Amino acid sequence: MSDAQSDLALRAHRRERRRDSAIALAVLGILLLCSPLLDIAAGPARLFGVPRAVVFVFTAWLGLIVFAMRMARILTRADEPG
Amino acid sequence: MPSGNILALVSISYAAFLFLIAFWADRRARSGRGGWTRTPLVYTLSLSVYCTGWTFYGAVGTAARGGLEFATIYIGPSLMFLCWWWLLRKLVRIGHAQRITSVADLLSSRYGKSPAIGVVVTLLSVVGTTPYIALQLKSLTLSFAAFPSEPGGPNTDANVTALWIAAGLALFTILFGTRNVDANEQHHGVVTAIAVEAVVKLLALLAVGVFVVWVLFDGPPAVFAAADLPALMAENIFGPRWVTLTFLSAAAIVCLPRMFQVMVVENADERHLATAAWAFPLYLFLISLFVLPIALAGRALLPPVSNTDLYVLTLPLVHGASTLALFAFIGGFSASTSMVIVAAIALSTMISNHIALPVWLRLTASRVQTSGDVRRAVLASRRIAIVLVLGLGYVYLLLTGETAALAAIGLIAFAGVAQLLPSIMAGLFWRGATGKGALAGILAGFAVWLYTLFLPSFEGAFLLGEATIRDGPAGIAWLRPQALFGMTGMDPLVHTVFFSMVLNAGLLVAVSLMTTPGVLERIQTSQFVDVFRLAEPGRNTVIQRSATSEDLYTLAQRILGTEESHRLFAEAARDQGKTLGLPDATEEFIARVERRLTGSVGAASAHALVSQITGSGSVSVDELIRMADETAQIVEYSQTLERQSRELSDTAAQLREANIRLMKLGEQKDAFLSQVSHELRTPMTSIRSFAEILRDTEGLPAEDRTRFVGIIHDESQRLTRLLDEILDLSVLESGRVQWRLRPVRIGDVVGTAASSTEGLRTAAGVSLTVEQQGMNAVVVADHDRLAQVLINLISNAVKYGKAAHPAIRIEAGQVGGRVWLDVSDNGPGIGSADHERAFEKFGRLDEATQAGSAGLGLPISREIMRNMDGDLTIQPSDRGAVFRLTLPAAAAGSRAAE
Repeated sequence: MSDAQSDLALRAHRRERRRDSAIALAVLGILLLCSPLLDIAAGPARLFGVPRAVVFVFTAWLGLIVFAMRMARILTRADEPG
Repeated sequence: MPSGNILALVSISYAAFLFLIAFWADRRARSGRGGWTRTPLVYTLSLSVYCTGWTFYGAVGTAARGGLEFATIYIGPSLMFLCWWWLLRKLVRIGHAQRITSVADLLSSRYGKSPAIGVVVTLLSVVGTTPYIALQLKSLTLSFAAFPSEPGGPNTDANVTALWIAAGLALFTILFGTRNVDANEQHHGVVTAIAVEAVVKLLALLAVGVFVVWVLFDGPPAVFAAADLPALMAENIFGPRWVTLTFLSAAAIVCLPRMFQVMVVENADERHLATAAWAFPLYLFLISLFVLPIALAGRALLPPVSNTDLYVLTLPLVHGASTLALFAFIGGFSASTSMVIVAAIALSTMISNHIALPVWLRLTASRVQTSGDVRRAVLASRRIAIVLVLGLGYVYLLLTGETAALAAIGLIAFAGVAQLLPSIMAGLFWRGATGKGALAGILAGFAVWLYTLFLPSFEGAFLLGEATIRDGPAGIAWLRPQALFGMTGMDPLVHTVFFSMVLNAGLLVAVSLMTTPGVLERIQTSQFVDVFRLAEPGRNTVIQRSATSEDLYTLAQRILGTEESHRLFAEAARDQGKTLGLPDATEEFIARVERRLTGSVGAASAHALVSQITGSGSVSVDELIRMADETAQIVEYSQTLERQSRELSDTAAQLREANIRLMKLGEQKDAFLSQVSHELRTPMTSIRSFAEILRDTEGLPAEDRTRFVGIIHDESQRLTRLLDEILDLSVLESGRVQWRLRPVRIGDVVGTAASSTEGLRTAAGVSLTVEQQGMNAVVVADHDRLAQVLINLISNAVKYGKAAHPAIRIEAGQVGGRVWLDVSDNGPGIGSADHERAFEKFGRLDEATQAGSAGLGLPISREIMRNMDGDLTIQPSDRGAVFRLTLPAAAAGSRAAE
């Protein structure tokens, strides 16, 4: 296999990995915001005076947004050769 | 306190301001300077059309009643945007590639450009969006009513306000949504105005939130401590309703006509999605951030009778912040108007494209149509459709009256349009989904939604009576709209979504498995499902281009093979001055690849293949027909070629054979000629040398002179004989000899030969014995020729049969129908290996048997014998050479001519 051909193979692999991580992020989002995990945070307990469930939902939400931002950069970044 | 009149003035001024922005953006876009209006930021902000008056007012109401549940409406879309890479991107890509104009167009196009699906989806969208538009009218009306009316001023009826609002919105939408019929249905002005509205409504809500948390209270803990909201403290927040709401709001992002409009149709660049992927969830996050505090503050500070949906307005109003209240009012106004405008545009496009235009074209089919005709018809139908949509919303508002809360109406709309989700998802990812399946699923889901949620929402005012809703049609309990099959105790929304989705998806799958898609549908299927494999839009960025090059490479590899395409691409990269990686997908390079592919698959196919990859259009039916034609011609042509090449190869084989024969003959001729010249040279040389001696030598003794002349004479004779023989042989071989075949007695021929050779024998001292026993046999032969053969054999025996007492013996006999005659000598004989060579022309036997030349005697003799249906062979023997002649015996009774 020549250099250029292995370069193509590497790119295909990277593309696949990017696609998989995009799906993984969606699964993580569902797990955090739409699964029984929510009930762990539910209840009368408070964090900094705010109900724990509220803190959990908004923190997870913001965390996902940050992840999505980084993921969007990775997904759209031009993959230079080498 | 701002009065009703001031509110009206502010609203109209704000609308005029938006109008100016839209007008300005449209102008810039038309003059080609609209670049900045098509940025990721504007795209993201325009997506916020998702956040309507329902969000602005209703979310706080929902939070005040149900705690965190309101967040599901924003979490669903956020989760959906996390899937942008493999879902929304595909949708947008297809939207660009197929030039999709609406969600109805998407489904119709995917399922074989089916008009029926277009109509059904359009109707469903209209019915599903009507409550939503009513919701906006209602929230606007409520927000107007929230401000205290001026004492002594006209106390306007809420329904009249709603009518005025509806009319105003219709006018605005018509002015901007239907100014022109864009080829791609994009509305730069409207999108820009909506982006501005998005900023206004977000800022308004944030301002109210900051006011509540930090002015009315002392930070978030104080707000959360101020009121007791049981739902917020519940042990279980996750449940069927949470899942249903998240699912519905996620589905709405794809299915709502207005969301589809801004996300897919108005999308200018696929890369904007990458920004929206995190920026839109962030927008939703920010807009929902202060919802709970505002709701809790409203609970704590406002009397329990006040409308929870209006806390955003009433909290600042009650606490004297009238400017902030006005700002909040403008925010709510923005939220509602933007939704109504975009929804009306989307619906009017659908109605005009899928219902009005087909009908109009059918009605006017007989008349000659100019393009201006159609354009006018489209614009007119869209304007009418906008009025119709807003009118329906107004009617719905009148029918539902004061009863339903904002959130309930919104969720009804969500559940309605969500019926499109199974067909859309299947259309994007499942090849097996067929148009009939989609139609069955959508219709069934829609029917369930109508029966269990939409009609009951009128609470008996429309079609379904109160008794029917309570007890089921004609008292059949298991058909109760909100408890199908007796499934009571379920949230009505969860109930509807469960039954409609199960039936919808179930029928979609079942009918798809039972039906076969048509040709066009199959083509469209692959255009949709394989959109990433087929097309990478050739935009001028590095990533897009490199992706296109990769796809071109994949295509070339599939058709040309790895090495060939690698060479092609490496060459092109070198020409572009690149040392590494793939060449840029320039027009020139694409054309080069296409030309190269043309050589392999034909022009039409290559063009179609490359066009698909480079995104410069999809395959039209015409192109397909041309491709099919060309393919048929190619098949026919190749069959003809195959037949011709078979014939050619046959001919070539024959020619090759003939050539081989000719070459062999040529070789034989060459060998023969060189032998002949060699044979002629020997006597000639001796004749010449003796002639020179006679000429040059003076006083040569007489006896020498006589001897030399004798030699010259002998050699001349030998020369003559040789030439005679050559002539003889060529005559024999060419078959031009006249044969006088007749019965001949062997004895006679032997006698002739014996007397002819008597001188020769006597000179050499050779005795000849003829066995008289078989001499009476009669054969069919040419007497003279047979004698010639015998003379030749006897002379040979005399010449080569060297022995102390040379003797020749001739005997004959008959076996069956054939007579044999042997001529034998008592010389050294011929080795069996030399038997065949003896018959070759000038064939040389070994030195002992052959002095000088072999001559042509034996080949001539055998030729003669074979021409007389006989043969001449050498018999194996251990006492000298034995030549055997065989000839056919003459029929009994025939006597030899004496």
